[in-house]
Amino acid sequence: MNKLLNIFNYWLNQDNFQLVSKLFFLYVVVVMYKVNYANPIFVFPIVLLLLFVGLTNKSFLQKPWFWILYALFFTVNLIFGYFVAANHHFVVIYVCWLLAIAAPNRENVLAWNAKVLICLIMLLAVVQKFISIEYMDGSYFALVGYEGKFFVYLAKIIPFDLIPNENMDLIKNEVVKTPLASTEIPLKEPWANYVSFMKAFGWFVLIGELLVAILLFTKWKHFKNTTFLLVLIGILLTRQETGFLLVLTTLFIAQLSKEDKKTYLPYYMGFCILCFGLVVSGLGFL
Amino acid sequence: MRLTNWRFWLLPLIVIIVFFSQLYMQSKGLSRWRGGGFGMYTEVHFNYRQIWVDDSLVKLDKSLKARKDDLLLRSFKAFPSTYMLAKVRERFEISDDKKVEIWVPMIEPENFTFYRKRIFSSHE
Repeated sequence: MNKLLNIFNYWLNQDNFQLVSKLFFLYVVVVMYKVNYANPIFVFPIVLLLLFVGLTNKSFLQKPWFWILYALFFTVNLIFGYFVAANHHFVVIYVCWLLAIAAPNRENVLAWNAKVLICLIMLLAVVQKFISIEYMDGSYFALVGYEGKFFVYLAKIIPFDLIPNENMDLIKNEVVKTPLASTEIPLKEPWANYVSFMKAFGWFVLIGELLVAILLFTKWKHFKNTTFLLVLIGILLTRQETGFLLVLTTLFIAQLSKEDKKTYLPYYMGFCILCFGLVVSGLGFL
Repeated sequence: MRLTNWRFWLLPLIVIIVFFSQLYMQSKGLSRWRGGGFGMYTEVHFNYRQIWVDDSLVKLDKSLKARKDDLLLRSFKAFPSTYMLAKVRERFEISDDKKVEIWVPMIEPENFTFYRKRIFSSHE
């Protein structure tokens, strides 16, 4: 028990920059092998410099130059893979630049930018949802839910089957036909008012994102952190976006006040470690 | 203090600029899943889009051994445009008389029917 308390105190006594830089570094080391869209000639010198800084400086994670090099690495890759790089590739670049400008101990810069970044991610996602007809009429969620792409982790624990199998066979046969020969196929709903349910679920997600954006700037310690954690868990259970969630959680940690850290740091760190394990083992998305 | 100190406003400004640039690219055909605009889960992922060359479905499978070819076709699916079409025609030697189209699976919410919608055609 004492050992656990010592470990907990070790992490609690680190400032937010040290915590975030260590957690985020684990993720970027894993992901940098997978986001290689660039011609190697452009990234090889950056990688060499990264290795040089890392091997010659004990506190390399606290150095702005280290994070600038990582930001450059991911930005060069983004330029080459702009049409295929995921949106959280952009967030990774933002966090690299954030660590560069907040290094080594500008805690107020880190906390403020982390809050604003999370707020912008949530608000911009809400805007995108509002301007999407497929989202607002429930058809997107209905289709993807129908194909079994949601609640994958839950389905491993509580086996359920949303999909009437005979309809999936119809869809599979239809999509290989030339589109002009294709017809509309009436589908059997998994339950009554399935589309309306999915539309309501879409609104639920939207309200959750708005709530996170608003709560970031309140002082309701317990309500806001509980909401943040529930939203993170909710996203994980809905869809295995473990890479994005890991980056998002490091931002949540970055904006934690000293008071909130005492109660909530173990939960955020536990969630971070869970997501990292899922990413590395291949059970989640990078 | 915060408004005058660039460390507090530069990054948020960059995020907002990227968002508006993504909205502009979206108006030109870029998938909401790309470009840094946080439009994930607002439309069907472009991986589900189908590329048809006349009556043949182009599949992204293991037969595409060249990574660049895979990247190009995925980019075309993500950004169906005359710009990407030209690159695809050149790389895969598809003549101009062949029709290239991109179709996406959809659900009609009113009566819960499955259908496919054409979002790009080379002959329009």
